[in-house]
Amino acid sequence: MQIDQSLNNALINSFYINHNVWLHKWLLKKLGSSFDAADLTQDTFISLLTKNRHEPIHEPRAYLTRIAHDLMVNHLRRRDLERAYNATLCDPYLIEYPSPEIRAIALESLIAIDKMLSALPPKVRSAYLLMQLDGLKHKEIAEQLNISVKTVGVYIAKAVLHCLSYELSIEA
Amino acid sequence: MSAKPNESLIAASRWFSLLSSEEAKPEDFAAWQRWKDNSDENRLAWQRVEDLGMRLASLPPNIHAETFAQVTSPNRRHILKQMAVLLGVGTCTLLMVERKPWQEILADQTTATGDMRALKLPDGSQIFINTASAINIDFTSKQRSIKLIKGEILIHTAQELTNGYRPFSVTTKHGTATALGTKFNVRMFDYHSKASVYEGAVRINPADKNQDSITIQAGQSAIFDENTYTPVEQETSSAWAKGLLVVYSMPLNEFVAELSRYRNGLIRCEPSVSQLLVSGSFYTNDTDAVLARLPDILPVKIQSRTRYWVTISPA
Repeated sequence: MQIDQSLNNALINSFYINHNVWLHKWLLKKLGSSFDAADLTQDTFISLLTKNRHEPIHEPRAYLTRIAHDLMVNHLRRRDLERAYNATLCDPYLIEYPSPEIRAIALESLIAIDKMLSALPPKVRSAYLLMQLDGLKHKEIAEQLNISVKTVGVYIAKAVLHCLSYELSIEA
Repeated sequence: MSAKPNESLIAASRWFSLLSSEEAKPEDFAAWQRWKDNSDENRLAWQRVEDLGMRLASLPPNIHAETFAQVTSPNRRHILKQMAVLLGVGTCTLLMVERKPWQEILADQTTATGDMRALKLPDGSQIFINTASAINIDFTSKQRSIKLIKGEILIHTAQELTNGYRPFSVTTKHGTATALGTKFNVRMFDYHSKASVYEGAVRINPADKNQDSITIQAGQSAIFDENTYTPVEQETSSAWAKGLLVVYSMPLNEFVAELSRYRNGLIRCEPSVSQLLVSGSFYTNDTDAVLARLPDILPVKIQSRTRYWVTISPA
């Protein structure tokens, strides 16, 4: 076990030396920020370390790019959500501005719920959220999304079932 | 990869969809109750549906479906990007300071059932938006206009000293109530709107421009639709802005209708008790407690097998 681990570490060491420069460049080109690129480069190698895989990596570039790409998508989505959330806080009519702690908690639950809903088709997601968050009636949702009232019902059931299954799969 | 849903979960999702619809009938609630009592799996599945609703309800009140849409839609994303460039990070306060008071503002505000919001407008006016309401705020250099799309708002107008006088008005589909300095309430019903004045006076113009206007004074109310208006002496209580429902000798069925505004689901009042009179002050943020208190003041009993379906019947 110990030997395995040190072998693995040596492998990762050489991996890091061989690949961190181009990976950083690749991420920089995609993200446009050197800091974000550096962060995600480190995250990619950390992800590799924690994966603890034993079989050799045949296509290191493709392999690393795939991990980096997934991390980048998460990063961008998170950033967008944060901006969207901050935009709601820029509401000039808001009387109380939430504390940093409340904001952090709100953002985390927003990200978790967004992740849960991300697999749903846009209209299914909208129908559910318009009802649940905006308190719209089925008829109003139907008008807004330009679908029939019956379809609204189908969409809501579909969204709820998806969320319940998703939560179960997380718990499992 | 999602776990394979069992039959109870599929049924629970469908029940939720049906019961959340405005077309859900009492029979549907009864059928749902039977389904739920049928097995532990069904009960458990329904519990999960309720927990999911709680989880989404715990998001900040200003998070709407649109917040998620902003993330997915490329257009929105572009706009947000531009905004971020213009504002930099954390300049929300700066934005407020630099915003000129006469600048045209178009804003939408909605509240969910049971929600209430207090807002301060750029001119210093204070507004309270009651449960299940929607408004658009439209301030220009010439006017301070609020469009009430549904629900109820209470307004305490600010005196404008620096910018000259701009009329402050609330418009519903039935007509416009213009403040002549002051504190007033506008509520929209399906077929009419009602304005009540607490301080100063308000002028009402029915939506039909050929109709004359009427001015109502503090302590008075008026009911109006597109064509007509009727002054009424009794004013609507503004206690809702403090989270209170204050009623005096109100028939139980009307009281139940008022209470229902703050609550999801159905409250049914049996005909034999519907004309009992209710007086008192009740907190609207805990409608369960209000219902639980009713048997103390009236000869009724409350059967609430579920949070969504409550029956009031003779004791």
